[in-house]
Amino acid sequence: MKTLTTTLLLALTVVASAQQNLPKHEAMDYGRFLSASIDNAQGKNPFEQKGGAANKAVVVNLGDRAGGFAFDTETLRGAGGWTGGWLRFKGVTFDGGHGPNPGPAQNAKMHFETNPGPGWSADGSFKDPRPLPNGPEGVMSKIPLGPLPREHSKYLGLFLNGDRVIFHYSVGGAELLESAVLETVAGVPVVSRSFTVTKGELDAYVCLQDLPYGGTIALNDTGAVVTMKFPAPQPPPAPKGKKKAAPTEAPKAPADEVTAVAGRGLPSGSAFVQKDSSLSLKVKASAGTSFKVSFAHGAVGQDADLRKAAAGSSGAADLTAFTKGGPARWTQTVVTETAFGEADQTKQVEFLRQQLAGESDATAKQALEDRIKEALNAPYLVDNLNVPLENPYHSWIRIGGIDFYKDGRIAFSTWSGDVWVGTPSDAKFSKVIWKRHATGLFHALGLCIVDDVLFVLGRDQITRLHDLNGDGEADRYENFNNDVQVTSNFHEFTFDLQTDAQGNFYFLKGGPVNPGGRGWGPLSDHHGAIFKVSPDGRKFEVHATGIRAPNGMGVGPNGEISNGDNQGTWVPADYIHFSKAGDFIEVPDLAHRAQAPTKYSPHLCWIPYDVDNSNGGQTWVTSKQWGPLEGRMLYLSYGKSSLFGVLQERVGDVSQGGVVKFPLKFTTGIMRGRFHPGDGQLYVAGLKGWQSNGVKDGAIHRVRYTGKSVTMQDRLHVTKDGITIGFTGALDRKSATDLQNWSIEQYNYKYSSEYGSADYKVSKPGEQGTDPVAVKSVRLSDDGKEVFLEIPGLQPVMQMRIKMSLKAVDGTRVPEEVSNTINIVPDAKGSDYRSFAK
Amino acid sequence: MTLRSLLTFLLAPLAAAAAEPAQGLHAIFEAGGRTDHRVDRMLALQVPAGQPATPWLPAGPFKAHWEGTVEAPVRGIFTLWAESSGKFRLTVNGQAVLEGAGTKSVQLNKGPNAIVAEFESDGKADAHLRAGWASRDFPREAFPPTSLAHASDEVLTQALRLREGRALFANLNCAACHQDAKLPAKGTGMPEYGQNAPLLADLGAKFDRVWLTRWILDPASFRPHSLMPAALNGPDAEQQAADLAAMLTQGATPASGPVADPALAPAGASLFANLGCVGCHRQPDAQGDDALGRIPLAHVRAKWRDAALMDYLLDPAKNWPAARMPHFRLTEEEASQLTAYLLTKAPATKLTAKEGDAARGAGLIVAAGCLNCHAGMPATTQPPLAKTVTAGAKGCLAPDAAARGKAPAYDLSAGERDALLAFLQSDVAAGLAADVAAEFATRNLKALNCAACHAVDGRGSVWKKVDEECRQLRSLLPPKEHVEGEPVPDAPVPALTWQGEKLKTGWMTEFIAGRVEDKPRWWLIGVMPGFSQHAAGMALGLGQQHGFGPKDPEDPKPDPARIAVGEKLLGMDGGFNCITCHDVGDKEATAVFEAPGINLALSAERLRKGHFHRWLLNPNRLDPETKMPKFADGDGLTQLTEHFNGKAEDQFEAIREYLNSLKKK
Repeated sequence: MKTLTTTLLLALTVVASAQQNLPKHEAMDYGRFLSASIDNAQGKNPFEQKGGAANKAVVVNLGDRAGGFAFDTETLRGAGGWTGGWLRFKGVTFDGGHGPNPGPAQNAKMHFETNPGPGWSADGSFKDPRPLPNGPEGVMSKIPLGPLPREHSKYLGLFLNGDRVIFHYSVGGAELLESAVLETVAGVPVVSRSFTVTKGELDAYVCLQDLPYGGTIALNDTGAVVTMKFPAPQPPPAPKGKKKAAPTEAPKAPADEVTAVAGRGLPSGSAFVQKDSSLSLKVKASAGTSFKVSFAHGAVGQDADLRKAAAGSSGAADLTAFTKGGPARWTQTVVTETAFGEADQTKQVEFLRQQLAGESDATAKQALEDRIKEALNAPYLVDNLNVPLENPYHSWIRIGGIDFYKDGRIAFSTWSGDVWVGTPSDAKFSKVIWKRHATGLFHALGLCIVDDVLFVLGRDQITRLHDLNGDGEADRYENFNNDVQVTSNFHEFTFDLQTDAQGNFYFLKGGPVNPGGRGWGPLSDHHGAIFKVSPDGRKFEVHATGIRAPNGMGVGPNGEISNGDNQGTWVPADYIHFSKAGDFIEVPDLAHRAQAPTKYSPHLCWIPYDVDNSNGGQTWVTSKQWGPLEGRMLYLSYGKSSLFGVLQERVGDVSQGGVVKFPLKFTTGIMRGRFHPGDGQLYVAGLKGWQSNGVKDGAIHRVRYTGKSVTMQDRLHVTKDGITIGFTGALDRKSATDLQNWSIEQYNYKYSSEYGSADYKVSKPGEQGTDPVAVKSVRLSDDGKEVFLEIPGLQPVMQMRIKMSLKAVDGTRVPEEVSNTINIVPDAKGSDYRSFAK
Repeated sequence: MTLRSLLTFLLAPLAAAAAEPAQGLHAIFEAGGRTDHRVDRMLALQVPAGQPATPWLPAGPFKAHWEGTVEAPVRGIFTLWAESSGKFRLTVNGQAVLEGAGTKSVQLNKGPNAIVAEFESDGKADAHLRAGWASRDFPREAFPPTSLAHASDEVLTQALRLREGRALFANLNCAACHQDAKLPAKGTGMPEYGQNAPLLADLGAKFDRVWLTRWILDPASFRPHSLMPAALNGPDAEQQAADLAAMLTQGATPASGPVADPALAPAGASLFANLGCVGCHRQPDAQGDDALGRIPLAHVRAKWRDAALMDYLLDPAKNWPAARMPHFRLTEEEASQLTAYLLTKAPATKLTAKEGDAARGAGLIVAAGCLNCHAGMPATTQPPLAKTVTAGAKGCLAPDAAARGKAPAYDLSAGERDALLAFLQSDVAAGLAADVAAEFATRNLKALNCAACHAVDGRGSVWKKVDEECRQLRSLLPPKEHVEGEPVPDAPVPALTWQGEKLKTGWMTEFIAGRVEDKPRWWLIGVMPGFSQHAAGMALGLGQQHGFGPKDPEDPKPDPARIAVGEKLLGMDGGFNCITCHDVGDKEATAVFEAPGINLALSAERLRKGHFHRWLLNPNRLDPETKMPKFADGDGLTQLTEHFNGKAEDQFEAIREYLNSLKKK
């Protein structure tokens, strides 16, 4: 195994990128396949129901970007096969664009393509058994979504071996393997679909080719000759808002093209069938049978050559040989050195000392000295594990999920579809050896490890990864569960992957936000929901509905299910919510109920826009080695690259509380957190992919407890007499009891379909602004750890901001704001909420 | 109970009894043995050499003194700073803090802290002062107007009254009738002084004769606070008005052009909401009183001939350069839609008037003094200014019709009459002879009703307050799915609070004048209309209020190495990803999502250096709702440590240098 140091690698990369000078999404080696929602060769998305578009495609890279084969994992359909390049990398994960999806390469020659619908059919009708999404007319998708019923056909996953990608699925009672291959026969490019039946009796029709834009199909003794028509290309869209597009000449339709289709090793009784503008193959085969269908493509008039080439491709191979794992492909590892927080601390102190040296003002000097003392006494330091941002595969490292193996190794997944595993050099993670483990996943924005097995959430499915031959690379990408419905909307991300104590999996999915941010695309049954998947992957349930763009959730030690959400339509500001099965949360358009709710469900708290503008996940402190916060929940902000403690109380079954920011800095938009099973420290990870103040494409930081004293807010209670705030350490009595050091304001938001909300006065509803809240007196408990702010007449309010300028007994500053929500004002204090694993 | 809290307890009722403090600081100026008072939004000034500090003072050396309070959110350490061209002294809570320019850290109490600032200019060079604060939570900034307050007193009230009277005297064109040789020549001194009223051209082509008659008789019945008085009175007034109207509309053929098409009205209604018309005007079919004091339009149908209204909307200042209605650069299609909306929604009021005699009207138009204002003719009316000064509350300034006699009736409040009287009792000629741009801006923020569309100094705009009305107006058109790249109705319009600090005078002038072709904020549904007559003064004056002159200091010679770093910092790879939301010249933003930004190639000509940095250091401090991320921490460091040791200010300056280099390409 070759190992490169980052320095050497950097040099290599510079050379490589100077040669290529490609944008990151073009330069990246995606491996042997890429999973994505794809548009057809004309750029039409699956809603148009034309040609090779698919909501969940695995696009195989044929002949090192010489061609492609798109397999629709929901319908087990060979959606398209082409040459002339692999993919055009369009879309939010690639060029950042809003709207278009990847599709066949710019000038791809389509050997075949099929319209969306079942890829196999027992009776040859190819009738789609899936119901349309359930909901009001006009807003729901007009095409069926999600996988076909299990008894019809089911995607089981794929195997990798060398350059081959082997799909594994069932059709009726049979199981089979399928793999596409590109050959050149007598100078003619031939794309073939190879099949091996591995279980049961296959007796069905497989859809081979549709003519979405017209053409003819002529059957012959070896197969068929298909003449395809294509539409004129679309004129480019008008530039945004500002100027009108200059009129252009109407583009002309391109010339017709021809594909010759031929079978190889077809079982007896097989027959090519033409029905309207569809070509299928009727096939009956027992386990152990292998056969192949080849598609040779060229221009009109080349029919004879094409027929010869199609019939002359190599024979059908037994695909089971490819299911045992192949040679390692990502053999170059990357070693990085961890940057320990002490270095940043030193740098910050030096910077402050420089300022101090140039300062003559006594008060300013004192303030700087306090800052230096604070920096030196920091109870938490942030280490940077230095993920392999530079790597030989130009993989774009934007991290969407992390977790740990029992032995302390770390794995992360990326938005561009990779999984990497990091082996630490020692218990401190002084160095990490990073190896690429899996590729081609569909927006891998969630990852968890259960019993040392990797589960990755993609937009299409939860994939269970298997390393069949122990070479550190996944050879089998098992479809653990793909029941979630997906449309081709650019913004309907799925996020996070968490498990509860029973082993159930949870993840989130946003609504299909339109380009630009307003309103929704056509809806599925699953838009804007939290999902629960049983430990065996067989059962998929909607846990709760009505969330917009929820980049992260939490599952507590006792099954507490929380989610964050992102300001936008019906979401006036970010919030933290605890849900129970069947709950509606926030966005009525995504409620999936007969009657759209008119009220949101009360949240634990709302979060002011300048505190957090784009949420991440929630992580419960399950470690005793991380200071005094065990049992507390943490909240991550993607947009502000910040970590927050969450203060919670329960009053009966009502939750309320707020957040307080840790005075820590992160280099990327952090959105996933895990505690390490060994060192008990918090590891947070995230990316820079949409609006954030994060500056690194991706990062993993460790928030390490230094053992110094922690004084920060951890409890919050509201009663009719006032507010009690608890602290983890004792406060300096003088500063805490000075009323001048406290300031509270409050306001409400407007719950509406508009994008976000302004602040509205409580005193004058409808008028923008905030209201001050007068604190009558302040008392500090004898132990110095609890402050009571006397505020008679408190009322429920959506947003309160309690600002304070306090010192701990050791002279360090205490976090300066609690942003909270009051849902209920009880007579007596509710219970402080912490959760510990049983 | 501590001594302080005891005092607070005892003093609280007293404080409550005093008048609510008003925003801004009480400013006292002294020059040439004279003293003047006013309220300043900012603790700042810019007085060009050779010009007076206020309109009532001579040019040359002067002293300025401000007093009031600055409000801190919680008790804490704040670093106070000042830059000053002259002697300066700042006292906070009774303690001297700054002597001259510099910085000083002090503890401020929560709530108001008393401040006194003194400045002295020798009058030889431009006088310049800016002062403010910084804290760990926000970077160095001028004291925000919302944090400053002052208590009023009789001297200040009188000075403000004098200013109001002066503005009324100029705007109502009092000198057109009440002439005086000592008054400055037209076109000199205070800009509002000596402006003619609208040109009386083609009135018959534009207006309905009956409406014109009623207008002449009583303008305020159509347009409250009309600048035009009811100049005719007595038993013959109705006939005289009819004669004048007959004369003014004689022989006219109505303007030809499209007739208001009711089918276009819904699109016009949307424009009425989307262009902010609704901030200044009531809807034509509105009934009852308007709590927001907007100008009614119920009379438009009775007044306008269809095509003429469209022409007017296309160029409101055509016959009246001093018009307050701005130029919206409407397309003909938009103008016809607005016309259709206005004319089909306004009630069909049936007005009546006598038939008039144009020949009699021709005599009257001179005799009644109409042309004094409308054509700038020598006054045909009496009395001269000197006499009005001694007359007191008589004639035009009489409180009721009986005391007014034959004098024209203006729609003035008692306070406005008092203000005019106060001004008349001052040295009127001297008061009109000079002006300062800072005060021009203050007056015209009000006169041009900038707050109709813009929030300013913490007060929300009228436009925002009538959100619901806008929604209803827009709902007349069938709903349309929003398409990315199209403007949105609810994107916030920039507040005016910091524009004087933010925008370079030259660019601001062009922008206010409506001469900037491409909308910088293309996502706003509205457009900044042109106020060409006022643009230069507004831009200069807003700058002066913040302590800026018309010319920004030259930037040092560009450094190619820093420019290269700046370009990198702007990008995705090792930068702050600015290009995700901002276009840069012809390069479109890569992934705008609900947060489009201004094309950064405009920055060099738009933004003053200090504000550029302040914005980048803490965008939410300037605009709590902005989606612009904050990259610098409280110590002024960013997470990009590769350049300038992570120092935000150096990194942002490199970006600025790069953006400046774009301009020169």
